[in-house]
Amino acid sequence: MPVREMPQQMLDPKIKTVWRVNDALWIIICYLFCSAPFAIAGAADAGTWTGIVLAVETAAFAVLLVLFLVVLPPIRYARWRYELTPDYLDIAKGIFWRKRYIIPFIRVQNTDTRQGPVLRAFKLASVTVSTAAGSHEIPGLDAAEADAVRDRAAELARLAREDV
Amino acid sequence: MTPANEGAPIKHHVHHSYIWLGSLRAFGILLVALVIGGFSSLASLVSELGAAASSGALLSGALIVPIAIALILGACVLVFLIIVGIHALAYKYLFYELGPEEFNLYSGIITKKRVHVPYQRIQSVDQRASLIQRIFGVCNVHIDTAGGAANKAILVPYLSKGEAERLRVELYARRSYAKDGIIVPAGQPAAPEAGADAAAAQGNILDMGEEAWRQFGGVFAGDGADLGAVSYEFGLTNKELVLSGLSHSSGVAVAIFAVLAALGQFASFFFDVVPEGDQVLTDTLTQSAVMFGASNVIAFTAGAVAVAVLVVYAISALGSVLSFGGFHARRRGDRIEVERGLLQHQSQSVSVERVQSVIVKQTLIRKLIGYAEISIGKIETANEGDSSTDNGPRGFILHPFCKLSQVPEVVSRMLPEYADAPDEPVKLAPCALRRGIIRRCLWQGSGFWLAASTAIAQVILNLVFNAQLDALEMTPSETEMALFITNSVAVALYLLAVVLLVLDAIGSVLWFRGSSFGVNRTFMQVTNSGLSRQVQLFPRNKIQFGYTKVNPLQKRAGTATINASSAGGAGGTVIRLIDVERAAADQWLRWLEPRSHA
Repeated sequence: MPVREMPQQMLDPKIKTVWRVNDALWIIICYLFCSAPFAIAGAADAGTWTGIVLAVETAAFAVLLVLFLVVLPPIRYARWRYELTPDYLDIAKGIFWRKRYIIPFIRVQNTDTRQGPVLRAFKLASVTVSTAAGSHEIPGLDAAEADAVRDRAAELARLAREDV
Repeated sequence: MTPANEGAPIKHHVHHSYIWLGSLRAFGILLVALVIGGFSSLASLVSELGAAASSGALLSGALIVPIAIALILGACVLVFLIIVGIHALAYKYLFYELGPEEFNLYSGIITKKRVHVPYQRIQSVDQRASLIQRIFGVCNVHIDTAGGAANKAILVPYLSKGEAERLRVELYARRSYAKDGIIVPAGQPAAPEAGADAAAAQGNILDMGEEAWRQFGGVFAGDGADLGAVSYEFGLTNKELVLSGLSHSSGVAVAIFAVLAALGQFASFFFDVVPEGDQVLTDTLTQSAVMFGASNVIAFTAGAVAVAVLVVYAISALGSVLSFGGFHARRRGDRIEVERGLLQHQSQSVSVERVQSVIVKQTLIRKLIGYAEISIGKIETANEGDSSTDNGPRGFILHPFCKLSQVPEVVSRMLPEYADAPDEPVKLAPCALRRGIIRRCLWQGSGFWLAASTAIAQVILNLVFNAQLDALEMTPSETEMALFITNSVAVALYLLAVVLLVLDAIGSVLWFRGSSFGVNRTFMQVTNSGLSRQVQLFPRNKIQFGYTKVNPLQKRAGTATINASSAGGAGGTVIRLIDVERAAADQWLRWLEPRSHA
């Protein structure tokens, strides 16, 4: 039996840059927090071990940075698919753990668009679809398209008569 | 009622026992907190007084004690009066209204609070009463709404039993009218006339106690309300009641610990009596005497622990029996009511359309004797206000101890809507057995990790003791003894690990053989087997969303994990089945798509 085919729509390619910016920010913040104590200790008395720890830490974070900035975004982008059918939202995502979601619109309680500073800088938005058991986010859509998707999802969800 | 008032909702105040019983309770809690918190200062005060009395100042000491007692008593009375005053004020501003479209609860002395609940949003209405509340015939009413994890149940405290029943009936009646688009004007009863009740079902010894309660009713219980016709009702037989208590999971866990403790005692005795030959030679007579004494102390302690644990088990079983005393489950119209608890009473009710799932659960013990617990999954809410009245376990237990062969009958009579269970189970993929054994015995295997951590600890301790460190300040014979104890404990832990590993392996084989899922037009059923077994049956329209998850190993093996997410429980539940064949999982996804099943 053939494996179910993937949903058609993909995210806006600019989302890769957004992910890179976000991840870079977080990694740098973590790096600063982790290395500051050692840097201060090293400045206070010039022992060799703090230098070694700092070097190892820097190397580890450099690897992380390469992983999250170069390796992962294209794969993540390629794996992230979604499709709005008239009845349900179909999402496929995940690099190692490949997940496939079916969210019927009759179960959707509310939908909204969200735009953080990074997303706004790239004129993108994310659409969140909430059910009684949890919510799902489609992260990188063109702002106008996000509004259209949200309206469509809301309209489809409005047809629901069933209750929880 | 004057004409001007007509149509306006009636303000219903709670029972006046809210003032005095509530303040007594608050006072009691405060007193306990003060005594625990101020125990040391109290003790020092007493010792100071004692010192003062003994150091010659007998007269003043004799005076100080009564004065101090009088002061403390006076302070207590003052605090109590303040609490009563606060409660009286709160009572004045605490009332509820049955509006035309929603239930309103008003409260708050300074900060006014008004809670609105549209009738249609009511999930369930529960009554709970502590022992004291029961004696006075009052109870707390909890009204649950569907709002995910953060929302709270609405608590109407201290209603007389009769009024609580009336409120419940009104709420359900108005709810069903609201569903049909009929609005019952405020101040007018909406509940229909009652019909004839079905004959009562089998009973047990504790029903007598329950009957006594019913006749006594409670001081302020008031008249009961007509509740509507009962179409099916059952209680528990003596055997079911006692066995449900004995096989209650927390009690059994305690008993298993008792058995383990006894085993440990036996093991330590065994190892101490038959030491290694060279050990006997090297040990002096005195030392072996000391060791024997120590082993006796260990054996005695272990025995005492085992006895204590057995007593705790008996108490836990008794508590469980009492909490299920007077158990009655009935189907009344479109709702299910469950009543239980001989001392602390609780009466839960939920309308059928709010039921998210039916769960049949078997622990190992119950599986061996062929019984199961039936419960209902519904949307849970956090409790507002005092959590101490929240007695018993969470969840809605439909039958605590039902013979497995009778489960379908009970479900079909209690919930005819759920009678149409899928009957063609889809088994797991063949490679799930291998994967399951590896997963459960190694990655998630308690035995494996116990053995691994024991080995690490043993190696480290052996290295430490063998290094003859000066810092330890041990004589060679002491070191030897420490090593001996370390290694015998390690052997005992290895044995335990082997037992756990075997259990894990048996569990994974049983999991592979027994687990399945099935779907039909309207229902999905997931069976997760193993040493314990759980069958979940839920309607398709209660699945909020579903997803499959494939990890790289599963991808190679051609399997997938299916996850159905429902709104039941607090903040949603995911019902999961690992290692379904990929094709079956894809078919299940297609089944999830609305309007796709023909």
